[in-house]
Amino acid sequence: MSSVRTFPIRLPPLPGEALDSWLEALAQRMHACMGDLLASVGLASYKIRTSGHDGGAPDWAVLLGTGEAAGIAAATGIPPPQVEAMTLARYDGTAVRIDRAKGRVNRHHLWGRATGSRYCPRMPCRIGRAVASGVAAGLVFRLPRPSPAAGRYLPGLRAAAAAAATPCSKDPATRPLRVASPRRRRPHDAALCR
Amino acid sequence: MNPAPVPAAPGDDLARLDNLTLAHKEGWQQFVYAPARQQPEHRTRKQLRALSDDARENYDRERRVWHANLGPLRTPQLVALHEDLWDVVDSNAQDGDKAKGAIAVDAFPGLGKTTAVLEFGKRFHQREIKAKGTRTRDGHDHWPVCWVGLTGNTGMRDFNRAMLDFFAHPATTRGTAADFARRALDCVLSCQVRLLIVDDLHFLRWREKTGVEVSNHFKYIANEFPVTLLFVGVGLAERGLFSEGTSYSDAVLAQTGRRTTALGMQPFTVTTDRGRREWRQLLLAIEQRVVLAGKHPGMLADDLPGYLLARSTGHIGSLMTLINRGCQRAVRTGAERLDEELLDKVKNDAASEKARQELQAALAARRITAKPARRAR
Repeated sequence: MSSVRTFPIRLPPLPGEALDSWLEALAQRMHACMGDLLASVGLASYKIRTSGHDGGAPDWAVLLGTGEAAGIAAATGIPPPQVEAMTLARYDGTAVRIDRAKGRVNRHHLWGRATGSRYCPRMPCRIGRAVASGVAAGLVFRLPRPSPAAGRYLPGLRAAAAAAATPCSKDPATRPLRVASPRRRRPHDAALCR
Repeated sequence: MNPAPVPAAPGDDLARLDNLTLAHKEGWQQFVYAPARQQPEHRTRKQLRALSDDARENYDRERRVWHANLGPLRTPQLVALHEDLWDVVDSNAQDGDKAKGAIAVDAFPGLGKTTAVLEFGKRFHQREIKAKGTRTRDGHDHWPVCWVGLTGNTGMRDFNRAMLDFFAHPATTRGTAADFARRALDCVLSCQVRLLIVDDLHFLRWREKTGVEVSNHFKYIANEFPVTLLFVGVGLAERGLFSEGTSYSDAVLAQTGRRTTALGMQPFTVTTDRGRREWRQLLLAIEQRVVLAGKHPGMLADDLPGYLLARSTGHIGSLMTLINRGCQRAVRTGAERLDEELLDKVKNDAASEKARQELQAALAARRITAKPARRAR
């Protein structure tokens, strides 16, 4: 991944944080669109991934292709094993079962899931990212509702609730709800956040 | 988490230095931490003949690279410029709410201003990294210097994008000029940039709309960014960088000029004995670096001071080009020394060739001399 350059700004992942959550947080920190950030770390587009040419799963949060962990590591300064440990592949055989030939989570075993990220963009605070990490790993549980009452205890949620009420702008910095992504991402999951 | 790897000070691969760009932070770092080149061992003609073909080929290749990278030399002009630059940069330690003074190094081509400024940037970078480390307190990369080279049609958006490109920021394709500026400001603040070098400022078309826009943008940078702006260019004063003027665009440009300290670099002259001594010292320094089997003491300083002055018109850039090309020819042809006969066959840059005749005529007529007066013992 020699073409990948190292970002000047560092945002370490939280303990146990999922890859998609962390990359989206990084994109938001750098006022960048998710698509630009993914291209910069060397992640292939959804179209290429689904054509099966790169060896990775269609969903990079499930399984990374050859050299993709190294690319992310080079761009972010995080060691490749730590990057790989942020995908669902870490839980293969324990919490989920991954069909490596197809690069998909087997939905019929354990905590199998449908396509799309479980990252909740309405939870951009540290606690929200940590909670979302558990969700992304297939460990489904309820997220706290982003309400004024919750905001008293979780300042980040208050901002998130306010952001949820404002219309999306073209500026990625003020667009936490609609970060462009080549991957299909599950929109805000009302059931999970209830 | 494990700490992110600290940007290493490269230097293990000098060969790659000919393929770097200072417009990227990786290239800049490579430039800053490149170890000093090792001068090839001096060999006599007899020793050269004794070398095997392979060994001779390797030795000649070493000398080719060495002669192509003889500089930078610590000329009096370079030393004086650096002193002025340190004065301004070190005095720009005001609090963030105060605009920092900018610097414009304005001189004719071939006088080594970019070389001198790069050398200064290198030393400043090394000093800051030594004092504060390669990481900021927040864990981001520490980049004390950012280098941006302008092109013929640079506008405000392009300028901001060039800054983002330097830092390897991922968002360089989408966004408005203001978006790019905000991202660049974020990089500058996060990476604690203190010196922003803008090279080839003369490319900017000042009197056109984009020129005024970028000039305004420099004022914005001076106000908002905690950096010292260091402009490098040719004829900046003539282009109106420091002019007050009467029209609106003049006044807009003047606000840049009011905050900018103009520094220059002069060519070597031989009108005074001091100038002639400086010229001799320069030639002696070059002579020490030249690796040719037929070299002798005084080959340049005693035998060719007037000739080299005429060929270079006292411009360090033209002189180094001539010496470099002359050495390459001397190695290739086996002449192994620099003299008028060999150097006459070497083409130099167009400007110095054009100005050569007049100076050569004056030297031939003994109206001027490049040799300093002998000191009484």
